[in-house]
Amino acid sequence: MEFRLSDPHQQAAGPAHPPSPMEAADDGSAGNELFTFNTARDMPQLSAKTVTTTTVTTTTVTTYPPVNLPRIDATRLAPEMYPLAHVAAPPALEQFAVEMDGQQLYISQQQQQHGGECQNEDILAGISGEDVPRAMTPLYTHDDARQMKEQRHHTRHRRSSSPPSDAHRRTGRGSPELRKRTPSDDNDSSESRVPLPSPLLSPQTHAARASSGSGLAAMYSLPALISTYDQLPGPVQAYLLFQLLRRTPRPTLQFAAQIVLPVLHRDFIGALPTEVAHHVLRFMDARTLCRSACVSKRWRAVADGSRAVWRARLADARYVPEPTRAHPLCLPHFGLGPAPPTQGLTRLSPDDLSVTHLAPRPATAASVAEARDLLVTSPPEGNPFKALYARGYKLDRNWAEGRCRQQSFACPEGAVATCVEWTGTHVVVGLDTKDIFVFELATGTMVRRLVGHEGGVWALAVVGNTVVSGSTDRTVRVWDLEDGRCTHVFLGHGSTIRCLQILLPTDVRTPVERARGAPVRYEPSEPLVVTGSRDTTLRVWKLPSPKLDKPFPLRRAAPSAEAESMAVDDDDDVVVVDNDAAIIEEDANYRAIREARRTELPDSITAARIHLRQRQRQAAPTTPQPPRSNPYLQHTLAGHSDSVRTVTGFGNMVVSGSYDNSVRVWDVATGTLRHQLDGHTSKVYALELDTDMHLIFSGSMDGTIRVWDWDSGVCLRILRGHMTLVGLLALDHSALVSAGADQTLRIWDHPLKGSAGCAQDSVQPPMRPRPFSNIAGDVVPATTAAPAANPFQHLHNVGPNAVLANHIAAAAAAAAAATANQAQQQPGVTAAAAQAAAANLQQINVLQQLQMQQRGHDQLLHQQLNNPGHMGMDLLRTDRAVLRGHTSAITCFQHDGTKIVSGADNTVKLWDVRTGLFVRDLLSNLTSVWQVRFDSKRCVAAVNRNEVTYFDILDFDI
Amino acid sequence: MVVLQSSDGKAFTVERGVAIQSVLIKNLLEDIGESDEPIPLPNVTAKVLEKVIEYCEYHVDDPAPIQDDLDEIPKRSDDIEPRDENFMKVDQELLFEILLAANYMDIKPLLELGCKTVANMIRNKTAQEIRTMFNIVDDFSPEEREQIKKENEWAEDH
Repeated sequence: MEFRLSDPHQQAAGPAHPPSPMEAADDGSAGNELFTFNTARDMPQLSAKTVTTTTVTTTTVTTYPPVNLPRIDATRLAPEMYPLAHVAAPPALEQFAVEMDGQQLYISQQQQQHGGECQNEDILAGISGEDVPRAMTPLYTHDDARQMKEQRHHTRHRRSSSPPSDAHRRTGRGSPELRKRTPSDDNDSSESRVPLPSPLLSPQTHAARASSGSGLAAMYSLPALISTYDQLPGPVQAYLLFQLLRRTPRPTLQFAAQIVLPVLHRDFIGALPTEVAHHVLRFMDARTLCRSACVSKRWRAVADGSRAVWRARLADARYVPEPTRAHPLCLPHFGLGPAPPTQGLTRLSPDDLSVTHLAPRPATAASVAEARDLLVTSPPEGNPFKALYARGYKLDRNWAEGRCRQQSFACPEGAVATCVEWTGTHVVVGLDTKDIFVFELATGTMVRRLVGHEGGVWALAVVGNTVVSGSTDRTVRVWDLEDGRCTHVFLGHGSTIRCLQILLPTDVRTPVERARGAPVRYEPSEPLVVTGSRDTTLRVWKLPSPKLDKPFPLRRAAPSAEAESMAVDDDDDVVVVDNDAAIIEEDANYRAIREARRTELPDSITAARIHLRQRQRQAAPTTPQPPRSNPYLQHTLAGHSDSVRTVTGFGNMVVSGSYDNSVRVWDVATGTLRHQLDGHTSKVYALELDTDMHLIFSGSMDGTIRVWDWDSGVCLRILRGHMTLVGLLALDHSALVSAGADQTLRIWDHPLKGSAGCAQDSVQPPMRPRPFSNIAGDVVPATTAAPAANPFQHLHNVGPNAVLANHIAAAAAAAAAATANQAQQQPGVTAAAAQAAAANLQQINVLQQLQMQQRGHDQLLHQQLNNPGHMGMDLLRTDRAVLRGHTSAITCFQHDGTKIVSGADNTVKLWDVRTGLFVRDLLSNLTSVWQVRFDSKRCVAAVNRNEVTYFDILDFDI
Repeated sequence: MVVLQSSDGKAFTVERGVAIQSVLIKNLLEDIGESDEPIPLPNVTAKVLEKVIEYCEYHVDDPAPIQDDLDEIPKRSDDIEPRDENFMKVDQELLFEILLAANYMDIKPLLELGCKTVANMIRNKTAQEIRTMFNIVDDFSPEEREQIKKENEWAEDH
């Protein structure tokens, strides 16, 4: 039967007849016998007759004889050989629609009720038009061969189609071979199978084919088969393939699988859009990233190409130190020394790209050379963050496995190294025997000896080329590291200077302010030094420049040559030396030292010295009047009722911890007390600041650490764990490490971060702190804070972006100027200038990224801070990890977020901050350890070995 | 209800809450307002769209993702829910298409899930294993290969 189908689209447009109920009924009944079947050899043939009535309306008449496909003879196809022969068609192929020439065709497979016997065919492919129910009218058109040929032609190129009628089949099929085959058994489907051009076809099949005689005919029909296949719409192709596969033997299937499966694998990194591929990489560890880079050129480009991915890894690994907020130019500006040396891992570290290098500067020969160097040495396609990571990783391995070069040099005089500071090239050591020694790191030779103090040096700080020291002789001295001169001596303290802190102009904005782009605020306005003394006071001094400021020497008859020329006009201007033993005795932190030196300081001698000191005190006024006005003295901060043991500060805020059990917060700009923090029940020994969250951590002899809000003065947390004195505190990358006289170090996850909003039960597993570094993240999140709550919003446009824009403008102008001048000036000079400008621009780009990361980081922090709920909760927190191993009070330690180096008794130990596990002994068999300091690649320890003080330098950069 | 139309013309009617997990559709709906018109998704086939809708239907009650698209947060891929893991047990082709669709339709959690799945496939595999898995040709010259090996061998030291 054949039906005419009116194209629904055209029908809608033109005066085509509407479907009558009769037609619909007819259609319903026609469902079963819609199709007739032809011989097995017929490929599905589609034909159509189109009658064009007008130019506007086209009525398409389509004939729909059924397409029948040869049936599979299940008895002949053994399942072992033809695994798919008995497989039912997948649902997708049972019924599907094909769009052909703008018409929807539905193809369905009719179910066989009684197996293959009831009809010749086991598969029926029905084709029905979309609007069959409405528009199909039986329209029988028996026709001559010529017309059918035309129809077939139509089918190829135009609209809907139907299998050809018998007449068409006879004439339309051009292949004589096919006709020859026609008489053969319809059921013999194996004959109709067309062999795949496969080298794996079994010889059996070939033989069978050759013997049957119809193989040749099949071969000749191949081109027709392929071209037919090419014309079929996708779903029908799938259908046909399925039918072919069903009658394909296992070896051929295997062969097909071999060909097909690999090409169906998708190259996720190579073929995905790069941003999605980078997203995938974000979830990979460094090793997998490296292996990915080895896969292919494309993978390498993707895996090494993303700075963000490697930055994230870098931040995760904490391989780059937290950046300092001090103004990068303040040291040269105030004559304190050159800009701080690069603290990063390589010359391309983010630290390197600080504004120091971006400040517009004249193109000196040196800067041009540096710029050229930067351009040449940075590989064009290398990923600096990956390089940084690799370097950090190697160093990390070296630390963990103890691979290092060790050198050791003895200090000329056996003494207690009270303080060790280092610059990039030198170690500055304060000794309890008056002198300050300066050693060159590379060679271990003593290059300077800073002579002047008349008592032991107990406080020391170094910035640039400037050294500030405080001593038991009650003086504060400022030294030039380059030539070893003491340029300034400050009198005023009435007793030993036990602690001091240099305050450099520092960007004091909170993360919230930075995220909002508030203008940079530097505090204090000039470098200051704050000294804390046993006389209970703190003094704030302007930090003089050893080079620029006029010397301010001690004015009294003294061995000092400079002092001799000065007139002595005040008898009170006497240097009184306090007794070391008293300090040692008071200072429980140095119990270990005292024990180590017991042979030198028997109790009787100690007692005698104390007696001597008391006599001295009676003889000399405890607080000698400053003999003359000292222009450097800014304020005297009085209020503590006992010795000031420790001092720290940030911006204009100074925090002091005292033996009177209190912590006080001062404003150095006004010299006033902001807060007095009471709560500790014993002496306060250690202080640490969280400058982002405005927190003060204080460690006390009472065994607790208290966490204070420095704005309100409220105690937010009490950290309990240590049995006794908490003498040392350090915060880095959100991990707080404390060390005490109870022989342990303890790691505390940030007491306020990551805990906001959730119950602080001890059951709750400790939240992993988020890394605190600003080197990762290049996405700037939308500001989520309510605009009304944002007091800095109006300042938006004058933030660092504006500053940055100025730099860019400067660099761009320089580049433009260089180009413009090129024609007139000597090419060499302008090229160099252009190069310098280019380097500048390059750095600006990276800086821009870093600034954006910083903002993202700040925003995150802001979110954490805004989560209410941490107030009014249980104040007690306990430590995350307790590091046991030392057998006496910890005398010193340092940590950088990944590792802790601690010194006590006779060893220097290395610990892992993140796991809280012991890694190894860096040094052992010591008599005692005075101080340790390390950076990413070197560790310096001041130790006592058999009563001789040594400096051990471990260089892991090998 | 929102009607989504796949590239091959298939229409899917889904609840608004399901549909707007796609930021693309969410923005679209905000722009054009409520409409019965099907939203065409010319880059997504019906097969993939079905899968995407399945995901969105399951996650319709999830809280809005935290704004944590900051790279600094360490990304983990070992935290996939079992149900999501099962959902992602599809052939590479479909996984690939899902990734593309999630990217195109801007469905962050699904993109994240897909990326994690792929990352987990790659994790701890050698370069050769990766090549086999994804049918990738090693197109390095011997010199390049040597150079790259040298560049990356540090990561194998542990």
